[in-house]
Amino acid sequence: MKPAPFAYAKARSVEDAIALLAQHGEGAKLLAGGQSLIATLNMRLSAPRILIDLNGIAGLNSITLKGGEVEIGAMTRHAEIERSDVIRKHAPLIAMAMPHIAHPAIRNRGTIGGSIAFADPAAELPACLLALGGLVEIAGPKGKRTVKADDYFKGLYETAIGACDMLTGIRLPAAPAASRYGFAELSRRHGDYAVAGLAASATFASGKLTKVRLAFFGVDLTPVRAKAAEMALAGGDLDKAVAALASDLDPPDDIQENGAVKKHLAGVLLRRVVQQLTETRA
Amino acid sequence: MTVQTKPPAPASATDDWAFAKFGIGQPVPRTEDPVLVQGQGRYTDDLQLPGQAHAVVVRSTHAHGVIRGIDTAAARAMPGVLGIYTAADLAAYGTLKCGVPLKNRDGSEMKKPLRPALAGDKVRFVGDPVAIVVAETLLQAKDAAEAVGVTIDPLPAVTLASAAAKPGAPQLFEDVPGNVALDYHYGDSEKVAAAFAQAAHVTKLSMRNTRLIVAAMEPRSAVGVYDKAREHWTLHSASQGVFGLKGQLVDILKAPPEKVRILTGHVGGSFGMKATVYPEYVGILHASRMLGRPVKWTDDRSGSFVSDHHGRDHEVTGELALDKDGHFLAVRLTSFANMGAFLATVGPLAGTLNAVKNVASVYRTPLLEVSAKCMFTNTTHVSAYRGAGRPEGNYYMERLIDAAATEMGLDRLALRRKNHIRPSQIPYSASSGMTYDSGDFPAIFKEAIDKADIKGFAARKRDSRKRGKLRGLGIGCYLEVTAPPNKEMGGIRFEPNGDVTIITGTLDYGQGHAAPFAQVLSAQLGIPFHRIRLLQGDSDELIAGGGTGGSRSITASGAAIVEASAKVIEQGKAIASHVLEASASDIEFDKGRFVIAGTDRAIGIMELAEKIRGGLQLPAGEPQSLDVKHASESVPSAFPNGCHVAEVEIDPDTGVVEVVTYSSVNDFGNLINPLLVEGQVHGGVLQGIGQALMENVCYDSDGQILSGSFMDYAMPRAHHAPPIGFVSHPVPAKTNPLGTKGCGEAGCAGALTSVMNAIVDALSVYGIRHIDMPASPARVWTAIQAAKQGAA
Repeated sequence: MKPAPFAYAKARSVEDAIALLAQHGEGAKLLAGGQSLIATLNMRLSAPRILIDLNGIAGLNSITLKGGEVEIGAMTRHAEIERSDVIRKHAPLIAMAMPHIAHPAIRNRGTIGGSIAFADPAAELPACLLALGGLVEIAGPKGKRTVKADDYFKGLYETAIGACDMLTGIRLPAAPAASRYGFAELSRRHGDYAVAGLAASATFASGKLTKVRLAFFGVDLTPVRAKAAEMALAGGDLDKAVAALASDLDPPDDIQENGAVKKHLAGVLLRRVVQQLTETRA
Repeated sequence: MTVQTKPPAPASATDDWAFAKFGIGQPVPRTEDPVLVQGQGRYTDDLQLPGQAHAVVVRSTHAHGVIRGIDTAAARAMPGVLGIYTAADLAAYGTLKCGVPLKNRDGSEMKKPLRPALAGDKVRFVGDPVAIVVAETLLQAKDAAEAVGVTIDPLPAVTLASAAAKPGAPQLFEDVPGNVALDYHYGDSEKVAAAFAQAAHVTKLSMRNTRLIVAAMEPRSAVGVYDKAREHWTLHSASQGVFGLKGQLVDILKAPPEKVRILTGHVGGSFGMKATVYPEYVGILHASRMLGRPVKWTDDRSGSFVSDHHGRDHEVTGELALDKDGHFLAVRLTSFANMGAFLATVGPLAGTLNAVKNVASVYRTPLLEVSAKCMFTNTTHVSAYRGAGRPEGNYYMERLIDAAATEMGLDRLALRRKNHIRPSQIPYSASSGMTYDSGDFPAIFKEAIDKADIKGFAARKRDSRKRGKLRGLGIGCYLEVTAPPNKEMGGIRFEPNGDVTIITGTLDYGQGHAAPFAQVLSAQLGIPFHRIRLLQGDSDELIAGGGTGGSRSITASGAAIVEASAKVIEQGKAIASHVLEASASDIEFDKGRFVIAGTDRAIGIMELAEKIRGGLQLPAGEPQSLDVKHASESVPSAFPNGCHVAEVEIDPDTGVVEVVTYSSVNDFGNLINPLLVEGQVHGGVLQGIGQALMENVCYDSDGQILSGSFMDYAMPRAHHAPPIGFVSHPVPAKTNPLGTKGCGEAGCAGALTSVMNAIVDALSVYGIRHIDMPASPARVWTAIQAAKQGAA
């Protein structure tokens, strides 16, 4: 054992997890796949009093197509998503992002709920959620609620999830026929957190892009929409869209790269992703 | 408990078959692997001794500061805690020492501040050990270590060697003014200055040789055992050779040599790092004495980042003087070498003596001058890392040559050819003072150029361009001066069960010594390969031993085994003369058999050993066994050399560099086992690519390490390795019996130079003439932008 001592409780249900959260308050942490949390515990960078283990809760690891939406349970492992036909057919952006998420060993344990709830600004899935305009299902002491992706990310590692809440799943609009998706990221090495990345969705018909949603990651405290660039793309002007990133994005410096370079890289990514969005389908 | 490696016996094997398969020059697979890949290795942390307690080290979280107090009361009261030790408890022991005997340029002694195992008055780097906590379990020790309160008044810190030399820089030691440990100088300044004054062209480059972590797969680990009844110390620890480590420990413990034993099991990588005594070992040995129990300490990876010594970290200005035709007249290096907060055992060597020995490489360079200021800084101490100055010396030279070619409008291949030392000039007295005994540098260069298909480069460059990529080709010639293979043990022991043990003082920490050493012995004595064991890690068994490092092992242990084998034959002839009833002078040794000359009467060496075990009666005054404990005298350094050629593709939009092709032609002298040699080159090349492209230890202005985990410190991965072409072009060394040269560090030397030269070649379209390692996307892209703006 490398972490500081902590207590452990295995939640039997979502309600049980929420009750445990309410009981233990600030000192409690939810354990999903543990791929970020356990590392910080082992390095003793965090020392929660109690871990509430969600791995025993039944029914949270499903991928279903229902009413024009793809529903993914919070405890669904990345590896399950990676192998899912439903995802490949109806949420292709998620499928495109999967190989970029760390490494197979991490994808075997890591969960989509954990990734979205942790909301690392350089992670892939939060940006995909934003690019797809998905919904986040949250359960709390007062019951269940649904939050739009655009309203979900609040700040660095801060989301709409309250102290005693738990993310139970996400819902994504199933891909319509004319929909197009693009995904690209630049990282130091494959599988590392992104220096900068872009997840995008759009509709492409008659040579024109519409309903463009561009979600950049690794360039701010949360994944961010580049709305001016989206408008410029809908207007058919790629150069203008790249230029618009200057106002859309304001990347802070981080250990990997300074903000100005990230801004440039965002433009490189946009050109590459737009090529994906407008490629003729085989 | 030591590790002995013995290959499985083949199911059915004739002698001839065995000699063909296991002879010198055969690609015999590593005999360690069946053990290691099945998890049956015995690394230090695998050791579980009865009653063993566990130690955790409390380290400074400040880079520089005065220790005001260490409060251990709360920690002592915690469950399972057996003892907590601070500097005061270790006052009776000696200090850790630097063994480099260099002097300042004015002839005065270098500054070697004492380094006690634990910091008492001041802390001088993040990670400086201040206390050792021992408890029943590791977790208890860990929790208690967190409860130790260390009060430190922080002082300003300095982490860059050149910054430490500036007036007003924080001072680490009161008696080391200006933080200068050593002001080293080599060469005739006046003659060199005259050569530069007369030169038709002078090329000058500032180069940063990046600071690296060593990143051995196995973290350091040790178990200390004090036996009160015998007043005897045993240290189980990874090492690079137990003989030298024992010498250091005897000095620190102030114990008689026979009262200290070092045992090393399997070692998971070291690269220079595990060669010496570290503070933790002193702490756990003391704790064992106090507690009367074995005490184990194993680092965790976060600890390794600050407690293992670091590598490289030099800031160098290199200058090359050429005449109008491009002949080299002189090379001059002026540098700062970062020592960290203390002098490691061989810390000052890389930036000084090894720079001198290696910089001139395969080129006629009549004059050489090296000035190096070895500086103390508030960082982890710096010492040997795969090459320890050798790859760096070659790197400086090859970068200077490419820059000179560009500046003078000369072809970089022609410029190298013009200056290569010719075979007719060998033995060659280099300006470093080294005498090259062998080598054919022009032939190796030509073969490397051919293998790399340099003629086809223009077409490949066009193809890359079509895909939006810049392509560059880089050449890296190298010549390394291996560590002098000093006195080495060649022990040969015929065991009761019929096996034969080689006992030698090098140490396998991943190289795979067992097979090649057995190949050497088998070839000398005709002992079947599968009967040969290797014993290296027990100091009680050794009468000499230089350890493994500086690419010396095959040459040192090889010579020792050859010489010891001759003694075995001599003893065997005497003994066989009694068995065969002939005069010893009539007995010849041939392919494992003692034969009466001119007859068919003979006895095999294994059979003779069997007879001796069976109680053969031999007259007094005659050898009583075949066993030999031999210590060979030093053989000179060898000069492995070669030429590596790399091609890179760079994405100009992002600065991402990919090494796309890699080929090499190498002269390692005779190869005992080409399979393992090629593996050494592969590993060295990838390690070099790691330094060239991504590895970099970063500190902030307070001296906190920013790259303190593998999340932030980028190591190369399998997919960064291009297919690595390997060709052996042996020109046997003349100074040792096997004609070997050593291959362990050459991969780094070839890779740093060829990859960085390829990157600069690709970027030359922007007028870029140098870029420092690591050529990270950020640095490459920024350099492109700066060059574009400069041009605009």
